[in-house]
Amino acid sequence: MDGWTPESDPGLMARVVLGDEDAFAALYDRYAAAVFGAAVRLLGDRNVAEEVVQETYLALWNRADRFNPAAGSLVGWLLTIARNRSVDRLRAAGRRPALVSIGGQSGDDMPDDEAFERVLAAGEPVGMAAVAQDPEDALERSWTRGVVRAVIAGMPDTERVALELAYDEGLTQTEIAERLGWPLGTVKTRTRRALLRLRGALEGVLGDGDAIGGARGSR
Amino acid sequence: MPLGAHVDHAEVRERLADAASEIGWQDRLAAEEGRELREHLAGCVTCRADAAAWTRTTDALRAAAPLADARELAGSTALSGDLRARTIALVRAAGVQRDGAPRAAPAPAAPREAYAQPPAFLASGRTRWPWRRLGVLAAAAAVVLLAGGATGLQLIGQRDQAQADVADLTHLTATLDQVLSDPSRQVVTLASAPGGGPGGTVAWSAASSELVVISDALAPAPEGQLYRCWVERNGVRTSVGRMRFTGSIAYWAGQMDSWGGTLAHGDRFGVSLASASASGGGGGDPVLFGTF
Repeated sequence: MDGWTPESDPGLMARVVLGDEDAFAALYDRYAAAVFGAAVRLLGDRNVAEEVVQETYLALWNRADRFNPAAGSLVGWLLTIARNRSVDRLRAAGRRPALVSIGGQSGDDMPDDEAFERVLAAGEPVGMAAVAQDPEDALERSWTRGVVRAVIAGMPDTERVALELAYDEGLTQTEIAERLGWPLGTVKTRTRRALLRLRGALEGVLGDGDAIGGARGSR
Repeated sequence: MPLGAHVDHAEVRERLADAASEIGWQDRLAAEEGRELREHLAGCVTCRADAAAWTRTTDALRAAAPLADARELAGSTALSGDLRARTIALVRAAGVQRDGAPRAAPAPAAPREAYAQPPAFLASGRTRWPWRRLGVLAAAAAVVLLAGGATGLQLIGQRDQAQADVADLTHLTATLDQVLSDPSRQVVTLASAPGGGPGGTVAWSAASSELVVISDALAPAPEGQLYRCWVERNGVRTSVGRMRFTGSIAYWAGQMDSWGGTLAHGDRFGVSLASASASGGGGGDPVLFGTF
């Protein structure tokens, strides 16, 4: 995950600069799911989200020589581009996050964002509920939540389960090791990797441009 | 293990990463057990920035809970199986040239293969940018280029035009991508006049002063006339440039050096027919217009 190799993000980007389509395809395979997952959660439309994916990767190809691995992670860069494209689509359609509340439609107390995802999974048309008075804040929160969930959905199971136990159930690293029967060091390594993935993906979203060596989240 | 007198910043970052692995780490950092670490952070900008990044990350994580649902609902957000091929085809068609050779250097059959999977947004009818037509035109121009080279003098004129078309489309897509990369860019739909239906799109980047306008709704200009695009503010119209045609796509792309300012709310952008012999100006009534 750390350091430059031909298959690391900087290595693949260097190959893309030279026109290597296999390297471009490898980056698609690595991050397109996260880009799509975040976009579709914000836009609520699979077709438009697919357009966002295409535009994002076209931008990656066209601007590959401008990517600076020292300034931030590639996935953070991609998600920033995707977010801008998604916001453009929302504004062009005159849409704002503060539309019909669907929490009431779901009939229980689940958060509106989670209710939205469940209705989306069922293939029903949805709106998006405001979680803040300021629609721009609501949009940012919704995008950030979508990025987190998309990244988690794409993680290896071993990393994801460690993170879920830590943050959904509040277990300590020692308790997680006992629950899963893993060495404590293994728990720490897998949780650290999961957090670094997330931190890297959120760099562009949350304005974290101060990527420090050893805590970058890039592969 | 207490921090030593000579603080190892890598050790501090290790401890911060370890701390962030458990919920409630900021509370522990604020308590007595975190005093030593806090004292170091108070005097170290680099490590403090690292701590801030972990705070943002774990705050976002808590806000997205329950995390277990992310995997459960992943099926609804899974990629379409053919999106990969469509994305690669789009990059081949509209991406900047990177390998030092003409993009359509392969045999003439290659362009048809590249467009076996047209972009989904065209099928959906929600085209904003006519990617497929741009790409097909670029490939067709390159095919004529190859054919011209193979069959002799009578195709030299077509070959030269094809070369110019490929160069123009490359410039167009590169400029468009530059504009769209500006987070503060403005994008306006142009209405056809009269009638008001959408007829094109204009995008503007204040950061680079670059503007792109594309329309697939303009008929070829009559003999002796051309389409001129302009910006109007407070009733004063300033010419931007002459629209060019590639196939059925009319466009202008470049830097607005003549404008010398930024497009503001209320500024109008338009396209009008004008006399080809006129030196400038904005021409007559707009055939496309929009308001920023």
